[in-house]
Amino acid sequence: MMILPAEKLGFAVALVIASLSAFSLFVELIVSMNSAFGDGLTQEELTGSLGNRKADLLIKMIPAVVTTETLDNGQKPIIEFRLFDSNTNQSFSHVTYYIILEKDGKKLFYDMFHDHDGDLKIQMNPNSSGNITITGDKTPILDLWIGTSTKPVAISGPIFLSGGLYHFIVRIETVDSDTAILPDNQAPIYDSWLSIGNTENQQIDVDGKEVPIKIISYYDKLKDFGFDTKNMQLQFDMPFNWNLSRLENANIFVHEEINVPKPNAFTVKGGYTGTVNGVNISKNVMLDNSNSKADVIHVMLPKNDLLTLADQIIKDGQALSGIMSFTVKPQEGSSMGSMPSSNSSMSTGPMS
Amino acid sequence: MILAIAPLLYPKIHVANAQNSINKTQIWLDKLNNIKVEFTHSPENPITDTPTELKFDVLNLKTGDRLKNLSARVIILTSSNGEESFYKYTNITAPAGIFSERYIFPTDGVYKVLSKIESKDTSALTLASFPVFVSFQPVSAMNSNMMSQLFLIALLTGIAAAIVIAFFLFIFRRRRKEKKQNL
Repeated sequence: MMILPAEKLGFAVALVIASLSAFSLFVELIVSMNSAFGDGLTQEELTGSLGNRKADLLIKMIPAVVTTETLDNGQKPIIEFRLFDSNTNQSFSHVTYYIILEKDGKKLFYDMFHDHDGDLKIQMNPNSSGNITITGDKTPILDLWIGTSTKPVAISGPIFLSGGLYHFIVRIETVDSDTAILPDNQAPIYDSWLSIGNTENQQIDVDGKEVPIKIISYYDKLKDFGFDTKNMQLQFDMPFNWNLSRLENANIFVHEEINVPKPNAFTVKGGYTGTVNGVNISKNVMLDNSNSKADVIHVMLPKNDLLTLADQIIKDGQALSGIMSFTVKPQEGSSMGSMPSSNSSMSTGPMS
Repeated sequence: MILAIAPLLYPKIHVANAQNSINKTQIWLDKLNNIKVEFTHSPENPITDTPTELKFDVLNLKTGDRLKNLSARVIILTSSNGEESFYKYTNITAPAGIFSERYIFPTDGVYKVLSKIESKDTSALTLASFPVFVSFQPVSAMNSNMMSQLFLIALLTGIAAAIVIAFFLFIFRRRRKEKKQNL
């Protein structure tokens, strides 16, 4: 069939529109991915109750992307704690939060904080000084740390210095009144795991040229990074407990992000495949190529996929190693998987 | 006469005995920190304007052993006419896991005794709250020791009064007798 010049023009316009639509759809996908998952494990909404009232706790890291690299550059993230009735979205008043922070089973700090409006914000000032110190005002009666908008309560010291999962245990000590202390059987306790992205900067040899790549792990610290020049395959490991019952009981989401400058032979194919412990997880590999200077490859494993993986890996006898072993390599065409059908609470690590 | 005076001295003994505040050990559990706080006060029925000892015993919930190396603050809280007032003891240290404070309750009513205890050894912090009922002094002041003291005072007062009256009667009769003889 002959195509007339006018038809050609129309076809071209239609093609451009279709391309733009596809691109915008993709961008939207990436944006939505970023708001829901992109920063990994940076906020959590936990359900609870206080008598006949719903008492959900939002724990949120601000800004969303916090990595060892951004912290090294002077970032001072804020952790927000907001206790609210999810039926009305109203915050509880006069909330006292008993907060314990642990990393790798070790208690980093514990203290009590109060916010009259129930919306507590704590600024984290990581530094390598010896002790953790807290600064801010205090309530007159119970001597609880209290932050104001002009003088937020701040925690300084060796905290958030390394990437990985940080375990927040939060018990609500008071609501409605500064001195109405809740007895043990009424005080809700929340477990939350927030992640500090662990940034690994590595060099890979692509066709004889050193290419600097950056991997951010939002679950746990990576180790044993390698690059197979011949097969153009990245590989790296991460500690991971494959215990099925733990996974079933946890809100969990594993997210690795690989930044590779382009163009080069590694990025030229425009797509990527991946495995975890030898199991193909290419559908969980997403490419964000909206940046003309770098490919950003996301490996995202929501809970359902992790359960399937764990089942397979336990059958293969690999679970005892306690390792999640990733490989990523280029593949012709787009390997973008569909968005994982995880729950969008984008939560975190183990909550045992 | 003594028997007649006694009721005037102890008008509310029976009321006092009938009053029964929370006089047993009150327990606060903290399962998250594995802490048990036992609170008692002496006297068992606190009264206004008389020192009351507030005692705290801080234990490991599982083993029952006292927690060592504690620091604490204690707040006595009350509200009257809708206004909350408090008194606080700060910088309390308790190396052996037990501590007490003496407080004079100024008015009767229900008080809340709050404690904030930190266990350095177990890296834990716990809040606790205990109600204390305080009576107006005459109502419940009569513990057995005070009662016997007051009874002794009343007895001595009665005897002294009887002696004085007897003396005056003796003088009065003597003078009357002397008058009759003079006539």
